[in-house]
Amino acid sequence: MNPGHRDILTELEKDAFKEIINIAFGKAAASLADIIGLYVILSVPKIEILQPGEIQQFIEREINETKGLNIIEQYYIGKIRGAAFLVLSYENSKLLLSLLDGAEQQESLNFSSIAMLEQETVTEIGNIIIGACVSKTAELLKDFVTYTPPRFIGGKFSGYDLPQKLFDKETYAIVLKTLFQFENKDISGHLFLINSVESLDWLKKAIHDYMKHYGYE
Amino acid sequence: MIKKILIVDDSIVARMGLKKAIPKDMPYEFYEASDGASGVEQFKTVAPDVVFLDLTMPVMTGFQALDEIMKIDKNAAVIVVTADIQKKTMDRVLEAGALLVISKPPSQEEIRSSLEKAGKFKEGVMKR
Repeated sequence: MNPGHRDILTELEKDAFKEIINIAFGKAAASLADIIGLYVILSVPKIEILQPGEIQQFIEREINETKGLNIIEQYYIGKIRGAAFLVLSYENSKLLLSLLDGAEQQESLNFSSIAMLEQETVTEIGNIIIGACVSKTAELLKDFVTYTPPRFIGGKFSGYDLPQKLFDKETYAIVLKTLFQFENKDISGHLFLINSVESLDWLKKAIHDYMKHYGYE
Repeated sequence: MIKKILIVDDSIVARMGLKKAIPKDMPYEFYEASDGASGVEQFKTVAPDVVFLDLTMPVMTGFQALDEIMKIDKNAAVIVVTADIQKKTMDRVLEAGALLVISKPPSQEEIRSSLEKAGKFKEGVMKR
């Protein structure tokens, strides 16, 4: 299969991959709900086939704001490989911190310590959500992935370049996006999984194996 | 006896999988909908014996569709099939009237046994 075309996956394959991500995100939401004790409202995932040069614009369009963000990046490497981004607004990050540590702890800290604590909090939340979601995806596709440590990459996507090693400019990437919201709290975030098409033939076969295993084919 | 089965899920792959997992020992009639709103409409027109209902769907969520279906028929047999495995989700849908909750992806055995339970519920042998 030539990964240089936008129709690298059929509609059925896209639907199946979306369903796999839906299941994986359900697992991630349950892990998060356990840790912070809040109910997570799930949304319908979105799948797009994009060229690396189109991804930044897509993400900015989806999150509908270009500043005031906290972005956590983590790479996953298996047969399925790519980059995951968790995007939260500054305000949401502050709220998350107060949920995890309570307001009392922040009162005793100076401004730079609070900022550091916020970064560490969202990075850890990113690690939990990305890890649970990608690991479940890998499990359903009968794959095994390893991760780079989660990295806080600041507040905006402009100027951010995906590594060429993973994302050749001439090929496409499979981009999955989902939104999560916490019930009764004004907190929401976006999760993006940017999958390289390096192992496209393997991925297509893994999707069909999944469909066969669960009686979909 | 179960005859008419309505499957409500926005994923065509999930609907196909569910249909295939249902035992072929009975001449079931299948009806499908790809969002909660059209699921409720189908429920009104078809009056199915059992509904397999996803929760995370566009237009109208499965939570809302379940509420609507229970308003139409408080004895409806609704089996929720969901990726949302939070305990609170399970508690909520059971409280709202779902007969059973199955996590995705469902096994053939889970589908077969849930259909059997739905049959017993419709016959009045089993309570909610």
